[in-house]
Amino acid sequence: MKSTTTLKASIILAGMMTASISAYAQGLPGSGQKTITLSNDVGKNQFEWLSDAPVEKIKGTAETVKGKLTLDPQNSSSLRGTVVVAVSTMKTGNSTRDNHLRGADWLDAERYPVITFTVTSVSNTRVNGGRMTANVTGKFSLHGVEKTLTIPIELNYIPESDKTRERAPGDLVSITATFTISLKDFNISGSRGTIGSKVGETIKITAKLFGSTGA
Amino acid sequence: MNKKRVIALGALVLAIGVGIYWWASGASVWTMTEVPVETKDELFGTTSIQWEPGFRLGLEYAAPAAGGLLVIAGVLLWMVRRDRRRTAGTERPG
Repeated sequence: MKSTTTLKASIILAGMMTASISAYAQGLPGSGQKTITLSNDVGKNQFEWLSDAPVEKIKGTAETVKGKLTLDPQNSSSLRGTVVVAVSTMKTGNSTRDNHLRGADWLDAERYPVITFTVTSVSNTRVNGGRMTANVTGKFSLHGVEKTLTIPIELNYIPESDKTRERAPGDLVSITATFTISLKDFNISGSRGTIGSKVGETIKITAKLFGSTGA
Repeated sequence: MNKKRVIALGALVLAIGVGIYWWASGASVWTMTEVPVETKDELFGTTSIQWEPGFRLGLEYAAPAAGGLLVIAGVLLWMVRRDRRRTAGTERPG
C-alpha cells in the first residue's frame, strides 16, 4: 500500500518536472534570426525614470528611443542590439527644470546627446509561450561614462496576425526592463547640494521598448 | 464689522486656500505646466506616460503667495488692534 502510494507520487512528480522543464526548454514562437526595429507604431518607446529625494519625487521620461535588436526566437540567449535614447527629449513637466536637466551641470545634452545600451550577453532565460524573462548584460553609456550593467528584462513576442498588422507588419515584440543607476557612477554632480536633497542619489529607470520584425 | 478685519480674515482664508490647493495639487516644489497621464496598451498590457497640458501649483509660487497674504492679514489685524487701543485710550473716564 505504502509502496503504491510512493510510486504514484513519484510518477506525478516526474510528470510535473518534465512539464516544467519542457516549458523552460521551448523557444519563443517563430524561428530564424529576426531583426527587431523599435517603432512607435507598435507601442510607445519610452524610458520612464524616478528620482526619489527627501524634498521631492520627480517623475520624468525620455521620449525618443530608437534601436535595432536581433533575436532567434528558438535561441533566447541570442538577443543582441543597441538602444539609443535622446537626452534632449527628457521631460519632467516643468520646462525650466527640463532645461536644467539637459544643461552642463546635469546630463549635458550638448556634449553627450545620447544614452545607449548595447546588449553583449543574455543569461538565466526562461520562456513560457510567447513570454521570456532573462538577465541581459550590456554596456550602458551615459554622460560620457560607460558601465557594464546586468538588467532583468521581460520580453513578449507576438507572432504576426490580423490583429498585429493593425499596428505594424511582422511579429511584434515588447521589452520591459527596470534598473537603478547611481548618478555618481556617471560623474553627474548637479548643482551644489542638490543631489541627495532635491534629486535622488540613485535613479530608477524603466525602459519600455516596442518593435516589429517587419520593418 | 471693521473693514480692515474683514479684509484681514479674507486674506487669511485665501492664504489657507492657497496652501490647501498646493497640497491637493501634489505638493510639488516646482510648478508643472504638463502633467503625466498613464495610458494602457491593451495589446501588450503595458502602460506608458503621455504628457498633457495641465497645471500643478508648485511651492515656488504658492509660498510667496500664501506668505504675502499672511503678511497682509497680519498687518491689517495689527492695525485693528492699534486702532482699538487708541479708541480705548480716548474713552478713558476722566
